[in-house]
Amino acid sequence: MKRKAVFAILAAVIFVIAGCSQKAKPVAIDEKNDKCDTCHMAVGNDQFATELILENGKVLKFDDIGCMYKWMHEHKKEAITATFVRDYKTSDWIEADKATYVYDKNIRTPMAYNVISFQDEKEAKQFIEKNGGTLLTHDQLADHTWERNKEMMMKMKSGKMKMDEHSDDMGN
Amino acid sequence: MRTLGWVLLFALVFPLSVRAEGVQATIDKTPAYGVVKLASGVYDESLRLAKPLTLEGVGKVTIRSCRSPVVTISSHHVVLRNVTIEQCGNASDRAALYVTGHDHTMERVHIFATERGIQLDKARRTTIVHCVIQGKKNGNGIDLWESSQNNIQDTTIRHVKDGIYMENSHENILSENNIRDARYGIHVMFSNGIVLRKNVSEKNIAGAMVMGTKRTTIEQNLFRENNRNVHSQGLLLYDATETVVRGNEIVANRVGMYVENARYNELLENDIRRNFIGMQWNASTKNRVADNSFVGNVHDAQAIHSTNNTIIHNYWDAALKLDVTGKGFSAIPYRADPFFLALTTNVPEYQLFFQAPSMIVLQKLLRSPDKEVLIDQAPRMKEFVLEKKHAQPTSPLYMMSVAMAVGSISLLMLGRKR
Repeated sequence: MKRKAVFAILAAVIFVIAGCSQKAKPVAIDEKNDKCDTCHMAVGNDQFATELILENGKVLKFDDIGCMYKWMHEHKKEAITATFVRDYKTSDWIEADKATYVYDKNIRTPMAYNVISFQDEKEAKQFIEKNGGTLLTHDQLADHTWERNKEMMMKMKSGKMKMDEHSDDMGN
Repeated sequence: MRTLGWVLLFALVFPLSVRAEGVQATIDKTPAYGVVKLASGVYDESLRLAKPLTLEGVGKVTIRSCRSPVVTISSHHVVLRNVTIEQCGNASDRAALYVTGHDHTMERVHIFATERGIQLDKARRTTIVHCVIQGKKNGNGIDLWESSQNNIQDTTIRHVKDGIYMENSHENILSENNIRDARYGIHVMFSNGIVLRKNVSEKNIAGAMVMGTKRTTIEQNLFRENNRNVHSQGLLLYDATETVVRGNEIVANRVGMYVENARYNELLENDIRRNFIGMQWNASTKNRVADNSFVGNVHDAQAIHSTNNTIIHNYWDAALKLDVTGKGFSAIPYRADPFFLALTTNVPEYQLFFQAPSMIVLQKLLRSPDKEVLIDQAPRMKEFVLEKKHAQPTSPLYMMSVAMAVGSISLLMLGRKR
């Protein structure tokens, strides 16, 4: 009887704790001390900043969505609880899987991956109407090649020039 | 000859009329390749120089405007000489001096910028020499975008975001510049064939950041005291290939040289001194590191995921050395064990344990296999003699030693008399 009671209390405690546990929240960017976990540049508190939260609670910050995907590509075994990007217009944090993305080689981002994120699909479409670009959903982003503008530039500039043999961008 | 006559005529006539009708009107009237000379004074207007022409200050000339850019240069062969440009207002991301076109020269131009100092936008073969840029930390000192074959020399840059920033800009030469109090002194992004020579970049968050580049030459620079931030470093090479880093002094930074995703680079004859970590490597292969001196660093070198590099004939002051052949190289290889770096990657707070005796024991116990370690197979017995490019004041030291010697001798003599 006693054992059952203990078990019941334990179960109740576990349920309460589980109920209390909240979704991971984005952590504010500290411009003075945060650096990108991929490229080592300072992370600006702007619309390009992204972050991911690991299961152990560690927060990794990136200055460009491309840097975050590069990290995920290189650390496939790490358990990630949440990823956040920011709205291009308001800089509000958005859960990465709920955002809409726009890629265009003419969009300037800190590491020239040329992808920006929007909370609202309408805003993204409006941006494309005005400036051009390709709309990407979160799922489509997983298949994005993350080719940096620098390579695009090189290709355009030197049609005959051979592309760098030792270039080792992710996804390639 | 006739052109010269015109030039002289305008040079003589226009200075007198500038004040009455404004500088822009005078510029508009001046024919191509003419010279406009400005007399001492403050000119409150923004200017557009859109044809080949020389604008020169005689005495102390200030051009001031809250409309940015204060001065816009386009077309080709524009010369701007001996003027001060003052930017007021805070039009975000606008430059005090905006330059596009080709073959321009800016000489002895002093810029007080609230945002960007000079912006080179698709500008080619432009020379910036003997200039001074003072900012308010809001924008880059000199910002190059798709601007190639430019020459930036003997320019002093203070209190800006990045001292000199370039992106998609190739074959630029930066020499003898002095950059202090910036975020990154020199920041090279996705640009090839860049030369950094004899620059001084000190007291910034990073001395130089070189990212996504090919064939960069970094020679005889001084990267000093870049240690204000926990992420500070003297020189960062990230995704850089075929870089030659030779004969630089990398002194008193947090990390002297940080090398990541870098291949086919040569790091030669550098003097890496008094840094917290001399050299830190990650995921870099096929590089050559030779004849460098690592002296007085708290931790000389650490590397992870970096194999297949050639590391030889460096001087490590902390290494055990034994010269059995008499050729000046030690028979005992020097290992840059990745133990600390592997430990601190996930928990940076473990840096507190650096130099703790138990850590050294642990390091010896958990010895990493040689394949994973950065090893100098034949360290130098003595430092590679590096010709000092930046004059060090040695005379006060001699004077002090002489004074002390005289002092002690006289004390001895006085004591003896008694």
